[in-house]
Amino acid sequence: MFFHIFINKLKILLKNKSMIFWTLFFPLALATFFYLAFSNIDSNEKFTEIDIAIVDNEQFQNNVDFKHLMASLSNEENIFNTDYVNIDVAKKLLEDNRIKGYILVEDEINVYIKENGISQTIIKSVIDNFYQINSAVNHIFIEKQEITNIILADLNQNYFNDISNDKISSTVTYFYTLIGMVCLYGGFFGVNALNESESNLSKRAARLNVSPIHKLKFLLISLLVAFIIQYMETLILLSYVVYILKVDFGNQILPIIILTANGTIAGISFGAIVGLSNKGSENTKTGILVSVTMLLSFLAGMMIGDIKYLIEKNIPLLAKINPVNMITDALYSLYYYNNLDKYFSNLFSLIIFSFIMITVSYIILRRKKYDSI
Amino acid sequence: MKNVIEVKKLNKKYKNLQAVQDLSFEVKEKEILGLLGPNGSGKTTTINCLLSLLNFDSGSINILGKEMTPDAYDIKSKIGVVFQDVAVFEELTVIENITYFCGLYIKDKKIRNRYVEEAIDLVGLNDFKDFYPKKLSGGLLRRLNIACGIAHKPSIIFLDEPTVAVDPQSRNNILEGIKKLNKEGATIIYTTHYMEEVEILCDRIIILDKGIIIASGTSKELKELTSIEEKVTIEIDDLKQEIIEEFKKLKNVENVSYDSKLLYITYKKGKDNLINLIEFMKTKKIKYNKFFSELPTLNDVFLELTGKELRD
Ligand SMILES: Nc1ncnc2c1ncn2[C@@H]1O[C@H](COP(=O)(O)OP(=O)(O)OP(=O)(O)O)[C@@H](O)[C@H]1O
Ligand SMILES: [Mg+2]
Repeated sequence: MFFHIFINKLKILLKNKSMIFWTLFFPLALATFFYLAFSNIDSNEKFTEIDIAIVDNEQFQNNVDFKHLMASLSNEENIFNTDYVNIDVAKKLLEDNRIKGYILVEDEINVYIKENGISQTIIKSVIDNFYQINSAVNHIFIEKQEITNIILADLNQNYFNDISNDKISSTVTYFYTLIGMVCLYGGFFGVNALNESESNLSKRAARLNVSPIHKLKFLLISLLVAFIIQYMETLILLSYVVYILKVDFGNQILPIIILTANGTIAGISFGAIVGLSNKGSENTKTGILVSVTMLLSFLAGMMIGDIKYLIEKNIPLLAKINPVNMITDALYSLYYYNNLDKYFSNLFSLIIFSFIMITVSYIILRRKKYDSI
Repeated sequence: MKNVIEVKKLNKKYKNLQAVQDLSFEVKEKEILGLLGPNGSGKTTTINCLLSLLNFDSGSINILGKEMTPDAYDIKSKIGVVFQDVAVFEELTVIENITYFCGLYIKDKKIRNRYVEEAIDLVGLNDFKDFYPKKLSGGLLRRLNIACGIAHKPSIIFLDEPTVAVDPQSRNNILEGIKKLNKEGATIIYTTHYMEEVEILCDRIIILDKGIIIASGTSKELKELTSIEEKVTIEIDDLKQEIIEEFKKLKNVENVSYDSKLLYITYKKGKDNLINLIEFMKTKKIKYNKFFSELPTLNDVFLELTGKELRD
């Protein structure tokens, strides 16, 4: 009996074109769209340059390689916004916090800073790298531009992945919310599962309820099938985004897999509630589901990244109870933070969200007869 | 014969509307019971209460000697239902649909497959086994709907207007199938608003109107309730008003009307009505082309009991 229902449900759902479109092909198309639209923006998007000063003395002018490096990092790569000044002005600028640090070339190249921070670390790292390369390649021929490139590569690798709020590629956030959205689209299957088992919602459910099959057993099998399909679809999207579009999701595969599984459960249970919320047709309900999910994704920053921060600042509660936001945040924290605290707190919120949805559905579902069908 | 279904004083209200009122009846083993009533008379409501799909306000329902409840799985396993609306899966073919629904009752694959084949035979869908429901005509779709409800060989079958909007060929096929199921031993509860169907099919008929049983019995018993003996229709090319008046004065004549060359005469109970009529037309030298005589129908019974036509 279990297999009979399981196999048939699987077949029925996989053949449902509109459902598979919404839960698989639409998100894939959206991912592709994001990729095409935002990969441009991202390369144009300016990294907030680090303000520095260089003491423009004789030694600096004589160190041709360094002079070229700083010029290209300032003018072409826009990593530094550099003022060439005398020592007194440099000190004054640092004093007034108008620069993060200044560089003084004497026998050695020294960096003067007031406080420690990521920008200061970057300045120092550039100087350190320059020293290393210079000593290593002292005797071989190396082009000036080559030094710049090596240093840039190193900066990209070590820092630009790591500087919260500075060089965070906002594109990544769009893909995170997309994963959140597709998890919630599990709701399509949740709506369907309820429609197929509540006799006041569909004729086929009435047929089921006059059969000797226990309604809750049937529903559990339907939800299991729903989970399997939606989870596979989420993983397909994730693979597409990570391996084909090459969007960076970090290396923590297992937490991502656990998170999306929980997200899928949250989505399906959310769909169950939408399914039970009114007596409209399945189309009406999926309409509601799509709108609500889109709204939640929008609020989590899917179309305009800044919305996410606006909501978090002004209506923090809304950000806290928004499951798309929970998924986005968890993915985000996996990528940007070294510890898993934030990840776990979001995962936990997601579990609570699902638990509430499932409990409420169960209470409504225990009804066995209806006043009207 | 024992009763397989007993309904006592069933009452069901939808908000303000009393859909079923004090309904009491029983269904005997292996009979075909017809629930006849116009649209909105409470047929579907009654069936849904019997099936424990709907809450009702008062009354009791026993099936196979036990109270019917949503958890009465042993009773449910012996029931088959064909709902008024078609309820099949668009994503499954004819044979897959029947197999799916049959599989909710029958675990054994071999037996199930045999039952499915028999159901397909019964409703005559052999040429459409691998069709998707979308490709089926209305009549064929209804046949599929029936097959899905009865493939598991239930001992009690509820059919709620299975022939609505069905072409005559499909209708005959469906009625034949139901007779066959009954011959094989199934008790059948059949609702319809087509009186011809209950006359052909049913051993006993319950006539419902506005949720109340207004009459019940065999078709013959019901017809005895009416005061009409027969209805005569005669095609006469030209007829003067004074002659029409004379028809009215004939013995046992209840009603006479003349409309587009057709003269309708309704007779009350009595003897020799037709002989007297023909005699009268001979003496008056009235020429007529065609002459039909009909016995009263259930529609006449309904008309007399409620003052309105069964069919709208
Ligand atoms: N879910 C409902 N809510 C409110 N009123 C209803 C509901 N279902 C039916 N009714 C009303 O109850 C009465 C009986 O309806 P029911 O469907 O049982 O009639 P029926 O005999 O099956 O009619 P039909 O031949 O049209 O199928 C009708 O007046 C109908 O309008
Ligand atoms: Mg009805």
